[in-house]
Amino acid sequence: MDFTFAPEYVALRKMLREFAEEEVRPLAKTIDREHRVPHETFKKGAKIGLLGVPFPIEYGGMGAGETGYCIMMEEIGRVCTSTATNIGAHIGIGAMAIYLDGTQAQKDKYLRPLASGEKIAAFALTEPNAGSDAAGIRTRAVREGDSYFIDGSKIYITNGPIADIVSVLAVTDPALGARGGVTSFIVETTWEGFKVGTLENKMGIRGSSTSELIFDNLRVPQENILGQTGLGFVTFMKTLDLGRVSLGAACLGGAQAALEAAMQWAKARNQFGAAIAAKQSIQWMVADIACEIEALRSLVYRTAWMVDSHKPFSREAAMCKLYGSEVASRAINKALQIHGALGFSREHPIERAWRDARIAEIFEGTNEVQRIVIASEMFREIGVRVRP
Amino acid sequence: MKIVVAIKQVLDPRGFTVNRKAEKIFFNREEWITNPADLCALEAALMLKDKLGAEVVVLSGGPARAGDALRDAWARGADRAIHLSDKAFAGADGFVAARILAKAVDKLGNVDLVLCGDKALDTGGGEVGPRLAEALGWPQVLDALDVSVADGRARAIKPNGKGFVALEVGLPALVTVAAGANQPRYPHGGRIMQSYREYQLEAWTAADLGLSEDELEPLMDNRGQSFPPERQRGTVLDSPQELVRLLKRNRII
Amino acid sequence: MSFDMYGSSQEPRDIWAVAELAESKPTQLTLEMIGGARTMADSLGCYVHAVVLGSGLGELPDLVASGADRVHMADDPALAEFAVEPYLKVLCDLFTAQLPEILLLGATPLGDELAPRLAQRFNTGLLAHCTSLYMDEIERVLNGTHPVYEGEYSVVAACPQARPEIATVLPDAFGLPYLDSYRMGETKPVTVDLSGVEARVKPIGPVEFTPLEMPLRKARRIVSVGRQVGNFELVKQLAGALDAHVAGAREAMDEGWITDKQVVGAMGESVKPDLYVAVGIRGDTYHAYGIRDAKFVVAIHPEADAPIFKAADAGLVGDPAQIVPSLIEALK
Repeated sequence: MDFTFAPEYVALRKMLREFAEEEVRPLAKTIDREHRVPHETFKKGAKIGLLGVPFPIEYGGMGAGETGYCIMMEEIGRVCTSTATNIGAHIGIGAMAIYLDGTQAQKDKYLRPLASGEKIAAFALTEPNAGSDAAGIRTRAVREGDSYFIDGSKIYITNGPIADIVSVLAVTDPALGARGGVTSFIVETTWEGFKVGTLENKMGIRGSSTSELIFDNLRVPQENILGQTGLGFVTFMKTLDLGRVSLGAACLGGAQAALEAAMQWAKARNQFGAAIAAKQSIQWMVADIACEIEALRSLVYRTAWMVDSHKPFSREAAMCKLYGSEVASRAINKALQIHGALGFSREHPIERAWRDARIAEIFEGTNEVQRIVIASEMFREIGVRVRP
Repeated sequence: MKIVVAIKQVLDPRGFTVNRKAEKIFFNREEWITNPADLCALEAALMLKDKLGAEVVVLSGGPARAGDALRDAWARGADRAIHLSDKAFAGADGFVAARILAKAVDKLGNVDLVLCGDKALDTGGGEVGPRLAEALGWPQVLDALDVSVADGRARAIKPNGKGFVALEVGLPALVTVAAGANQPRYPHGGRIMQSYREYQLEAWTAADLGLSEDELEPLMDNRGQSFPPERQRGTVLDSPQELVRLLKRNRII
Repeated sequence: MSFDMYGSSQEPRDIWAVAELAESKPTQLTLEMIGGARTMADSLGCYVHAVVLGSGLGELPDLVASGADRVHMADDPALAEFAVEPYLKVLCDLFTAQLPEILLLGATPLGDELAPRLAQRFNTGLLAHCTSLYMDEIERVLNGTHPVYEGEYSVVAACPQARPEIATVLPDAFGLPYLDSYRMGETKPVTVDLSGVEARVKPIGPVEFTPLEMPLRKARRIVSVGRQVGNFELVKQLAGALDAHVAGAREAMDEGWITDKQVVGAMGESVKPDLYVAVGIRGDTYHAYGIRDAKFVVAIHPEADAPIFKAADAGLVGDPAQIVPSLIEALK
């Protein structure tokens, strides 16, 4: 059992660390304050394959698999949660759906510009009445000849305002419901009938754009059906499943950054005649955070290895997301406490990290859903069926 | 056009701290990086490749870990990466390094331009570049911020007091590039993966270069280390003139 | 290994220094080198030679006054401006005939170009950019100390066998010698044979060039302002004189002197320059955090009890509006 990363991953991480420090970190405060997306980062990142890390080199990606993708999300997550969110939505769910279930023709047409960063992807599942209860979606796709016409709206879609290509889940047969009545479609945002709705005014990840998407008699050719007709749910759930691992990696990066910042501050800050790093209350907070980060790190990279080795990973992926989001929240909360009043200032990065971290327990499947997934997998082994 | 870039690894200074009082170096983590000025030299070569379609060959001595620096150079866009690898090369000083590199350039043949960093972090003397130029019998331009090539001649821009001057030299020539001259490009992640999974590094030994053990004997001896004096925080001076003298004495200005 | 390529049976001897001139007079570094050579020569019992290359060379009495026994003048129109090939030819011819034991050059553009080439030509070592040199009298070997990792520490090295021992010397490695006008020394012309030798690098002339911009967090020199700066314009001039970035404590942003991107401190940027000049900054913990990795901190503030002085390597107490212009003058 060799727990070291192969040298290509070590070299990849080194490059990504430098990119994150030089190109992403300097913009983190700005994009949060200006409530804008870092297009300049996408442009620079496209040159090095940043927007296609797990995808094959032939498509303009890095060919680095899930392990490389997690490394990237960790390094970017360490300096800017907003940027990690933008890239994660683009690669991890938007483009990934096409990679997992697309035909060769669809991959050539859509995965190529997405992996090379020429175009941006989004993933449209959630609706006002269908969050955790994703089966409750109402967006309708009606067949007419060799096209489908989509009507409805999606909400809380990351990259919604900037996406060129969106994977959309719509009901094709209301009678069949989630099993056989729902289909995934690849939609181009330049098509007639596609509209970006209200931009969300969020507590955190303000450098990421989230919006409503409105479909008004949007015509989609049938060759843009993603996966099997009627089995769109399978495609979407498969994609969400996989996206959880890298989200755990981004949380790992965020927790790590909080720990590093807290330790530096504890070293510099003097009270009662000594650096606060010399005080046990601070030391124990650091020890607790470090422990959790170490456990999360092992969990994330072992799960990434399982993905790359084509082993089943659903349960572990849900654990990555559940544990990752909670570890990050706890780490950032403690780190803010260590910073004292300084951590409460909007001028300090930890304040932004605190606001940014909250969403991780909610999006990509709430932590309650993750618990259901894990419990379901656990109990299935002993013959018990778990329902949400 | 064929360009050779000579690179080497140095210890990442972020991995160690110097305790002036104890006169000791503490290693927090031992990490090796490509010498920053060498990365700028490589970037200058790659910019010439982009413009003129030149072939870029990267050479490096050093132990097995130099392979990482060479793969990184290939991932950034070099066409060939050759490890000058032999037990007999260990401990090479400036004199021996220049000798080895000169043999390698000769072996490659038809080289038009050699680029290297102006100085290395771990030696600080800037001697290998000009030594190599002498061993090759070529003209040199040192500390360039910009290098361009046209009609068989290289043009370099370097600082001169508060301004800048341009110099021209016929090829073949050697140019050393200053750290900070340019922003080295990031390698494409896919190339990084390929540099380990697919690309085969070339390796040349002393025998390949026709160098005998006698020719590889270093001339220099390391006689130890010395440390700067402890910082005198809290010093208050009497006049700006005294401050300027202190800054000069500490080699800050 | 000694001057093997010359097959000479003579032993190398004496200390040689390559002199450089500024406005027709030896530079201060040249005089320091000759003074240092004199001290070493006295303990070794040998002579000090200075070599001057140029065109239309006048009298240079300071060379002997600072310690040279013999001054070799290579005077030729082709040597009017420094160029590698002609200078190298003259020096190689001279040294092949004279066989120096020790050869010193300044760590100057001329020294940096010539010393390594001379060392490679003579199959010998090089002590480059020495902050100090001393002669180990027992071994009769020159030990040179040179900084590495941009001055984090220094390495001491020597070239025990090969000759000449060549070193390039930084200012202040040797003290300024006493100029004794009563010292006696010889001046000899050097035969200059530059047949077939041509400068291969052609200077084109001054050019307009914009070097790569350095962000604040990587700046080598920073002049930073606080509330007590007095006159912000003066500070900009100081930054210009030092070729430094302008930054400030948070209050400077409130005063409108700097943008939020130039704030140094826990709520702004952390910087690690070689030189940080804090003008009018009182220096609380939050600002101090931003400069914890600065290598040399200078503080200028009217209040002697300002916390910044405890962190500063050098402080000046007083009105910055008075001190800064004085400092700009002293830097000229």
